[in-house]
Amino acid sequence: MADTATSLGVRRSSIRRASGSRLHRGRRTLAAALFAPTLLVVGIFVYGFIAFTLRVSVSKDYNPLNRDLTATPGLLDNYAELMATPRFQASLRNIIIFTIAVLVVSVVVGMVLALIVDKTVRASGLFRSIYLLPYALSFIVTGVVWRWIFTPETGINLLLQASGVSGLYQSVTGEPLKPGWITDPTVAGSVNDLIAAVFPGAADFLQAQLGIPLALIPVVVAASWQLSGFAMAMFLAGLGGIPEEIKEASRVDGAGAWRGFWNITFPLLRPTIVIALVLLGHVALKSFDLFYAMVGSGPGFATDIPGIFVYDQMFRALNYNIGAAASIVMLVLVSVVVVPYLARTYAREDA
Amino acid sequence: MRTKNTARRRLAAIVAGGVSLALLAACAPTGGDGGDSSKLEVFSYLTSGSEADALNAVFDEFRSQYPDVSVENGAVSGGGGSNAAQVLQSRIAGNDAPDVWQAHPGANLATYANEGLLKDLTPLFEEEGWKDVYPKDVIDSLTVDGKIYGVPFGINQMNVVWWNKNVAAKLGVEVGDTLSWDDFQKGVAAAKAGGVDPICLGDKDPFTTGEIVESAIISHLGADGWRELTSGKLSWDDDAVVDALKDYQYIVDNANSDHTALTWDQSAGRFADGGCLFLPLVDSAYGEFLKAGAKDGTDFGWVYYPGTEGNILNVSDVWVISSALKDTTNAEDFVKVAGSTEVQLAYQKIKGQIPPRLDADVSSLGAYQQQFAEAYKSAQILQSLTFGQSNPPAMQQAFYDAITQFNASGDTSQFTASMVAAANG
Repeated sequence: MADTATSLGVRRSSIRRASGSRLHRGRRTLAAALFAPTLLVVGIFVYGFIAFTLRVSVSKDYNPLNRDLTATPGLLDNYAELMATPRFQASLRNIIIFTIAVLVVSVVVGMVLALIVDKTVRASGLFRSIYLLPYALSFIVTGVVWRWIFTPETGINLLLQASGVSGLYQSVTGEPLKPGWITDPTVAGSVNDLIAAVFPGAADFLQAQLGIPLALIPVVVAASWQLSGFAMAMFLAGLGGIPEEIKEASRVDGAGAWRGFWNITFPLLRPTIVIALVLLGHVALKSFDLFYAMVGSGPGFATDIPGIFVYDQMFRALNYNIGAAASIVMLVLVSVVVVPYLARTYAREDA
Repeated sequence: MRTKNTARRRLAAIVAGGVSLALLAACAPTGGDGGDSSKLEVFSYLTSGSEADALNAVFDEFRSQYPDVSVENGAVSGGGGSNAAQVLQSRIAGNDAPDVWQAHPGANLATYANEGLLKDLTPLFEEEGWKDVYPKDVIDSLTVDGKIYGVPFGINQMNVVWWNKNVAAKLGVEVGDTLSWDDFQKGVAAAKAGGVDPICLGDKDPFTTGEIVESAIISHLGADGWRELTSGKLSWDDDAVVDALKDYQYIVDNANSDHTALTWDQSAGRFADGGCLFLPLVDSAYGEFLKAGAKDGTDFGWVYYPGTEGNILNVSDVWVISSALKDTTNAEDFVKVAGSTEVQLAYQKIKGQIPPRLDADVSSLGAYQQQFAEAYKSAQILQSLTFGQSNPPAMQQAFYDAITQFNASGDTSQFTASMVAAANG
């Protein structure tokens, strides 16, 4: 990171020095000409459409059939309606819990895998490929496979029976072990009563149970299975960047494996961890295909996410305004993760 | 040397600029093909095996009658039609509506008609004498402000309970031509005692539960009550709705435990394999049974959902013509072919339901289809909320969402409150 920043700085100052010469004016025209198409396409198809979505999100009943952009009486009417919708509350809860869980699991698993593969002397290339392979699959494939694994009658429950775990559980507790997995509507650890006790007004507003929907766990497993290998690859690159002398010095000074990791490797990997969190975090926040293929909205919206909500509101209910408002909320969510990171990166480059 | 370099750079700049323009040009809509007299695009979501075959039978007949016109099959698959709806909406917004497209009658058709997107087909109906060959309820469902906008080509009934004859024989359960709610419960109890799942359900596709709730409401309210409820004359917090939800809860409680993970066709497959006694499911299931090798009348039978005899809760398909089309000759020729008795019959021979026309000779169809056609002559034909025929799409989505919520909470007052809110909103 630091290296690229300084080299960029050098290049920039040399450009500044040389500017004014005819050669560089020509180079600039070329640069501008090459840059123009991308700028144009991104300008229209990304920023233009975001602006249009913003416009639709404050209109009363726009849909593609009437194209009526009359605004709502109050600027934020649609957003107020959206936030009060039980289903949207549930989907916001789900995507936030899902993102946090996926980040924790895939960063920890990816880190452990990276450390193991990094230490492996023989065939480390083979193991790297094996762990990275799931990342090459499409989320739809992952979703379909894991749906069958976590369907109560077909997948993992059969394994529990065959391995004797179910029998053991029943003999100890007296109750059959039959987890519902993706069919379980339970929301564990609901804090609604607590919130209502502290903020009496919130009780009416909160229509969804604020807790951890159990049906979300299988999706977290599937997503982490797919993304851990990617995290591993990033950490391997990070580990490769740690100078051998430092590791050796710590060994010579008598640091054990754990102290070596905690005091040397981990601090030096911190920039890589931040990048991994940002990259995986925005993938998790924007999820759609994995949920769509694996669970849909789930029982009682236990696995509903803003992406599916937007799809239903727009294309099925023709509520384009509410769908657009939800899209903007999604954009804000992703921005919360990405923007501070970008700001920090730019700040460093300028320094 | 330097001048040569600059010239090369200028050239590069011009090329880059040209590429960007070409890119933009490629994005511009091609539009305005309304005048081409040799082409016709037919847009649908008839893409599953039997549906695609049935549609091809219609195309074949059209091609043989009008060899000069090239028909383009613009079918979009996936999502039970919601992917196609998405494409259709974008195309309409981009002034690129297909010439002919598939719609549902009632509120779905009205959504388009109210925006002036459909061609008035009343003259065609008068010319062809079609007003008399469909039941009055069907004509009403095609009519918006006195004008007819759609040509029916398929009708499904949704308030159907299938029963597996082999499983019933094993359990000693007997089902007659009709089934009362008490006998239904007795059958459920017998299946439970016999260690068989009483009911098959696959509500990963939420329409399967939607149609059960609708059937249950009709069993408590009757045909007129359903019409009042969906037209806003009766409130959704009526006691009959609460009673219906309790019946629905009973059905879900007695269904296979993995019902939320199964799709509708998987549940039909499980029923055909003897996995349960009853299957409350739209008659699209009929084709799935035959595909699974089950025989109509010996392996399975059907009755109307208890208490809904004499009513057909329907989901239907109609063709509509775009009002943006300048020359509608080809489009009208197409719907004339698709609306003829012969082609409706050929279509349903493959698809497994009945021709919506009353004057079609159904003696060549299967036993179930003939019984359905007989009932169709005199039944009250009711519009389904599940498929957006009774109410606009926003209400339809609210109904789906309320059921999903109810599935987890079992709270009837939450269900009725959100439906009342949606009906007022």
